[in-house]
Amino acid sequence: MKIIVNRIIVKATCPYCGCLCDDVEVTLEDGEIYSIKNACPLGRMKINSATSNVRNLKYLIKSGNDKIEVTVDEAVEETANLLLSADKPILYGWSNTSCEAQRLGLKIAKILRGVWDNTTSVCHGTAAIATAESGIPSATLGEVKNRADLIIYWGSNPLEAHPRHFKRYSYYSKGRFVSNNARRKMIVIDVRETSAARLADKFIQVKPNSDYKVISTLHHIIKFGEPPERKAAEVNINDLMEAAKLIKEAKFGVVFFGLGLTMTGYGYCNLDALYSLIRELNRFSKWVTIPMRGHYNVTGANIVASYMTGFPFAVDFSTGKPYYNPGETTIIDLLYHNECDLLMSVAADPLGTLPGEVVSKTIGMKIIAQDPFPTPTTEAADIVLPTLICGVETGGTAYRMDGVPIPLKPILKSRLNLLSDEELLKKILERISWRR
Amino acid sequence: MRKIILTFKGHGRPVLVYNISPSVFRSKSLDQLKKLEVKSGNKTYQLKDFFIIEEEEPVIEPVETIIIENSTFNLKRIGEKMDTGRIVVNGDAGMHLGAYMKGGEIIVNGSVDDWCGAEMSGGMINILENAGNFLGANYIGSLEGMRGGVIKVEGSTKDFTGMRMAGGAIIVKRNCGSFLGYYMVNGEITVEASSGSETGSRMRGGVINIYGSAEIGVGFKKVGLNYITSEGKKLTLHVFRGDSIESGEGEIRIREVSK
Amino acid sequence: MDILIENGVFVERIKGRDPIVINAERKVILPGGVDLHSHFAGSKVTLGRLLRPEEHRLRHQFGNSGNHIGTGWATPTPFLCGYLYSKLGYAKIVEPAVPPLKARHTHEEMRGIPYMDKMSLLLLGNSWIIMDLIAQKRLKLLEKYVLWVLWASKTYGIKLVAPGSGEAWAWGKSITHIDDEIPNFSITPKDIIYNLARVNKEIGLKTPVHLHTNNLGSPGNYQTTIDSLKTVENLGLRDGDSPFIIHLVHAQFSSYKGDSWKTFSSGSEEVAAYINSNSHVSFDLGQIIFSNTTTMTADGAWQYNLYRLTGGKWINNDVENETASGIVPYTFKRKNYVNAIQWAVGLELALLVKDPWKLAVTTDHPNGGVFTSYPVIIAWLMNKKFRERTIEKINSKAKHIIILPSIDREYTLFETVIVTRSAPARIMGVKDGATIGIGKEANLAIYDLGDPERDLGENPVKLIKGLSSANYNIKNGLIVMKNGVPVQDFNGVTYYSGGVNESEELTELVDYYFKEYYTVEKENYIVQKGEVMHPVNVLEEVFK
Ligand code: SF4
Ligand SMILES: [Zn+2]
Repeated sequence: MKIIVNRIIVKATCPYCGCLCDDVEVTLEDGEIYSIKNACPLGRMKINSATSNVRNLKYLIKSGNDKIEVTVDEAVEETANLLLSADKPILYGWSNTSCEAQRLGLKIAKILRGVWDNTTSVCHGTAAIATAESGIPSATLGEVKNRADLIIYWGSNPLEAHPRHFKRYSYYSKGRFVSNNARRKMIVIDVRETSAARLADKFIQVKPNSDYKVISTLHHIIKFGEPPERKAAEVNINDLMEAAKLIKEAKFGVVFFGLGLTMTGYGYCNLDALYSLIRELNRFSKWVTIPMRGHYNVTGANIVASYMTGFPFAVDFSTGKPYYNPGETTIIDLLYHNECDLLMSVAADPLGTLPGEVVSKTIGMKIIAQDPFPTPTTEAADIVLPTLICGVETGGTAYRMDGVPIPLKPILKSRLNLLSDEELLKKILERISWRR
Repeated sequence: MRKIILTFKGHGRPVLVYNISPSVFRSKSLDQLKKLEVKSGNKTYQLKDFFIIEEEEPVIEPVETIIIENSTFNLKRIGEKMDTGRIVVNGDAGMHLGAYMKGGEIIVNGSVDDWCGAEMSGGMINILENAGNFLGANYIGSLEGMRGGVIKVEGSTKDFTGMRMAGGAIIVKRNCGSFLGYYMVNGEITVEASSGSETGSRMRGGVINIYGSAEIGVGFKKVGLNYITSEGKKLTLHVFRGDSIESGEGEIRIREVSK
Repeated sequence: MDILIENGVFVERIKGRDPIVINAERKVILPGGVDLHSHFAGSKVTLGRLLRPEEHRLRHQFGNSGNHIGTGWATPTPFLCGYLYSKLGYAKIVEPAVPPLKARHTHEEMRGIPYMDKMSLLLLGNSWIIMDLIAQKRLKLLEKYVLWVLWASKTYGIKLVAPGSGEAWAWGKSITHIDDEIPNFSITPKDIIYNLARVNKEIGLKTPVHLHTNNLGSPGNYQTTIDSLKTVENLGLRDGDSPFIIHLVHAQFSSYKGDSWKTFSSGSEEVAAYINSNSHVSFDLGQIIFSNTTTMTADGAWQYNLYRLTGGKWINNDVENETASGIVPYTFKRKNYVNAIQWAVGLELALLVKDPWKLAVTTDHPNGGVFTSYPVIIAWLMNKKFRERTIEKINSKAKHIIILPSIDREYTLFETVIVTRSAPARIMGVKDGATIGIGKEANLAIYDLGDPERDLGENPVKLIKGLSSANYNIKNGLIVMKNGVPVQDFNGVTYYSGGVNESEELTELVDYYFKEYYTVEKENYIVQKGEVMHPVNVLEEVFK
């Protein structure tokens, strides 16, 4: 007997981290993944998860202590019921799905007079706030690839969290005016010696929560050519003097910043200070800064929300008009103040990721969880809505960490008889609009 | 003068009471007052749904004073945009008390939540206990916080007090949190006790007086001494100018710089 | 007289039964307006939103019913943008600054803008491929590439923003003279202007090259402007609706004399004289309005200067191998000397250039002001006294040196129709969309401007009020807006140009840049038709 295998290669955009690598090649054999080229282990894991057994397979509704299986229409109907009867529903997540789904989510939130918030509110939201306060000098990643002779990673761990960042966009990439990494210098600033730190020309180990002081001192050195007269105890001046020298020699510099800066101390102030420093540096040469966004489409969530409502995340529609006030309309604050009575999570796991103090507030709230995978949130949910994996089993659009839009592609056809986030949300929106 | 007493019946979730303001109440009858719009969750209610509304000796005069009894942190936006009259809050008050206020007076016999007096341009707010974050500050994106008027806090405040403050005065009797006067442009903040880290950071102008100690940013340089008398005590204050990182011309006068 | 419309076009006789009848007695009926330069969609606009939540907080506007979301002033949400344009009586709008790499984003937002037909211009003035091809003198290939990249991005025409200067800004530098060499590229801005204007003519695009001049915004730049226009003098005229070789965008920002902010003065006479005596140039005003706004342009170096002048917020966002960009909030103040002159320069240009077919009213939205201010500009153009009322209030030093008070010309209503409809439509090559004539697209706006027997310019307040909110906006024969209230959902078309050229040389060229310099795959750079709202290619899709 002759076995005929049908092998094809499909191009894919990796739906895992903010690098959004679009050069991935997946070889399919009879519709199954045979091999994956160009993706890093994280991306490979994500793409392979399509075939994992650990999936949400059924539409489930809680009944007493059990969850019973229902049809998609029953699940949509019940979802609409809960959403429509909520006093202030919050629709949260959105970073691991397409812009198309995000837009629908905003429309649903608007009709319901609910809140639409995004994981930004617990990661890089501080960067968005700082941008609103003073603006960000930035560029797309190709500018770094082609021009940067000094690369700074600050509070981010690229080799572990964004494994292909180095190769595709930064230190190891080859560009028009910088043909190899011998012509680039790298500074790593972090609280611990990361793997990237070991490759750096200069590693500056900072004390936890001292970043604001470090940036301010560095700014002082660069602006006045000397350290401040009163030195902050937690800062090593010699380190910063050396760094300042490298910085002033650069023709094109970039600071990539991560959660170590956005989420520690007064995260928002860290970013204010960083952006101010970058503005200062543009007096000498060209400097830009780019956030190391985690989820593959968290940037898209901010972009979609910004153009749809004027605000990048934490949009509260409860009075009928969009209202944005981080610290008040952000998920943590809303839950903390018992403002919401329903939590709908889409492609996120708030119960598994938010601080315990806040998670405890969700007891007694209705929870709807839409996700391809089981999580603590789907576990606790009153309604579980399984979906296809966006970027693996369905397509759409996503925005890379630098704001470049890239199509997501359906790599393979799922065996599961499920809908995409977009299709499911469309059904929910239709149901709600009809019932209103 | 007409005086209205509102007794909050209590509610488990925040209620937006932006209509509780003498400017709105002024010439309304008790009946009209009862029907004033109030919002909670995603629904619109009437004032009477959340409050018992009484009038002290009805007189045919504009409402001058509103007294809120049983107030809690769940009452948001009390006195927002008010420009005249007096509000007395017995209990705590929620976020945005007196935000965008132009005139009149608010007294809180308790504590207030965040953004109290945010972007206010006139009037007087007197807090008998503590205040939250962003007291007299700006809202996100605006380049100016409080522009005029006075806020007095008998207790302490949290972070970002007077952020982007552009005029008026804030007086705090006890301690302030971090980033006091962040991005401050003008006006005067006086803290009679101490404040936290990065006091005056990114300051462009204005004056911060601290009679206790505070930690101040690396962009401040000492320029001299200043002698004052506070409550009968003579104090010597060290005067700093900054934040030089932002080419600022602000002044911090402080008794003791903490590390 | 009756105007008859059926199936989206003007007809001589209506075949169907029970037509809707609108009584437009004593009303002014105009073709739908055309805005050929307004930054309303895309990456830059969204960054403007991100920079200014305060603006969206304070300017909650209408349209917040159902799932419509309307906030913002300088950067209104897409729904609000379509809504406001429609209310103003407009039908077609042009987004004039699309970085090819982010074209998908522009289309994503444009899909959400109801009522309007849309076009967009592609930023090619700092493109590496283009600069390299010019340097290598591979000019035939350049034509093919331009067609390809327009097709790939589903955009309509060519925009040059401070050619070469964006590349210099990528190194934090700027180019102040169009004969200066662009760092690392051994060509000059002049080479780019000339070659792309020539290519544009060769490949038969429907609109000329749109040029944002080098040195825009700076004192003394009128000379650069005239030099740039001279560069393409010998190219003759183009075939088709739009004969112009070059369109000077927001000319106001490029018509200054003086050598510093102190000696800053108007260069409108010189620029207008050049345009009057040459037939290859069209332009739009870029009129400033005294107000707060969010400036945004691909001229990154200029935005950095503006940030240094204001000391306020600043976003920079350069796009690899293609363009720079920057965003800075700004307030134009009556009492500011420079701002007062800028205000006068725009109106002077409009009044000194004799032929209204050469110009279009714009504010370079939102750079000079927002597009909802157009009725005020019309009133200034139609009424000298109304201009004088504003002149009284401006900076007194400026008041004495501007020539505006000495200009008596007042536009007729007919001339204002040309500069808001017919001329921009012609310049964009969509003349039929702004003509009331049998068989033409039925786009109409009906206004109540007061007694039509009288001079409508006489009462500017009434005129502004009337023009600000059309009684009816009819788009493709459908009533989409009635007295400022949306009547039905409607999405216009998106015009684009360009075509795929099956040439190995082109494929090799493009593939090389993607392999070496871009950070995305070529296939992901191409915007698919399915991502565009009602795409209409005005050229042939495939070239041989
Ligand atoms: S770096 Fe990120 S986007 Fe690229 S393959 Fe790895 S996980 Fe995927
Ligand atoms: Zn423009």
